[in-house]
Amino acid sequence: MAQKEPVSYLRTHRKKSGLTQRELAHLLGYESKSPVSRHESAAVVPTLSMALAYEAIFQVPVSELFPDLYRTVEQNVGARLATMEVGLQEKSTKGRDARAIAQKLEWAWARRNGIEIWT
Amino acid sequence: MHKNTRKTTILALDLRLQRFGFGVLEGQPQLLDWGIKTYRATDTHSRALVVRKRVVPLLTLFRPSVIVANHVSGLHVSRGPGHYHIVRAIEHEAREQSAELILLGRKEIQRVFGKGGQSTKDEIAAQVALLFPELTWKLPSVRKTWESEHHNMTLFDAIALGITYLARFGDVFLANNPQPEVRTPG
Repeated sequence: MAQKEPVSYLRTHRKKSGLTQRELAHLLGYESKSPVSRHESAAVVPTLSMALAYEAIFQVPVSELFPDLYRTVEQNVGARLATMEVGLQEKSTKGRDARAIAQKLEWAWARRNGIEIWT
Repeated sequence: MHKNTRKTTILALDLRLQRFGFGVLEGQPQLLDWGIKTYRATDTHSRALVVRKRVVPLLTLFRPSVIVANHVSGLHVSRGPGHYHIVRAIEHEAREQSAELILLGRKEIQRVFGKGGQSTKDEIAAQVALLFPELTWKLPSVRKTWESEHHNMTLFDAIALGITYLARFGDVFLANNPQPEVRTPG
């Protein structure tokens, strides 16, 4: 059986803190608890500012609060990057364009292998 | 059966006829969610429907690979038939979500929580609260013989079920206790 991760850990962190949905909504600047409820049940994806607010409140990275959403985004980006790499490798150019392509390919290779080369 | 429970998510349910306590555990163990859901239904069919309605959001959000529920056969015969229908409803939902349903009896819980299987519910609840300090404020005071059971006790019973399941793999606090027997429904 495949092991699946929970969609969101937002509810876990809120309950561990002892905060109610209404109190958390107040910290986020809302009067109603419904946005928090929708984010917890993953019915609605939080906006970037909301996601960062959650990170600030619970001191947990957004990618850990919403692992399922992060994985989906990561997979989509990875697939598009792979397509882009193939496209770049098939291009035959010379001069400045060739150097730009080489730089992109090098960055993509380093990223794939977890190597930091531009520091 | 899962060999590695480190990232296994478990939904533990203490099923009663009018409510259920639940705990969502990840195998280190870490408590992800907990609570009590109530349902007022007169007949078994509508009760099963309401239970499903209450369980489905938990399955959708936490996507557990195992659901652990209490096995009551032979203990409380009067609530046996009603319990059977609730278990059937949950079994159906478990199948829909590709989760496995495991039923554990009271004896298995007591065996895991030590004292030669003589632990009381209050002692087990206190051990659960020690393991998960975030539940301490919900811990009911020790019940006097003339008092009825505290509403929150179902929550601790549910989490004790989850811990009992995890204890089979020896990665919970009670490594020296024997592994409980497991029944699958049907």
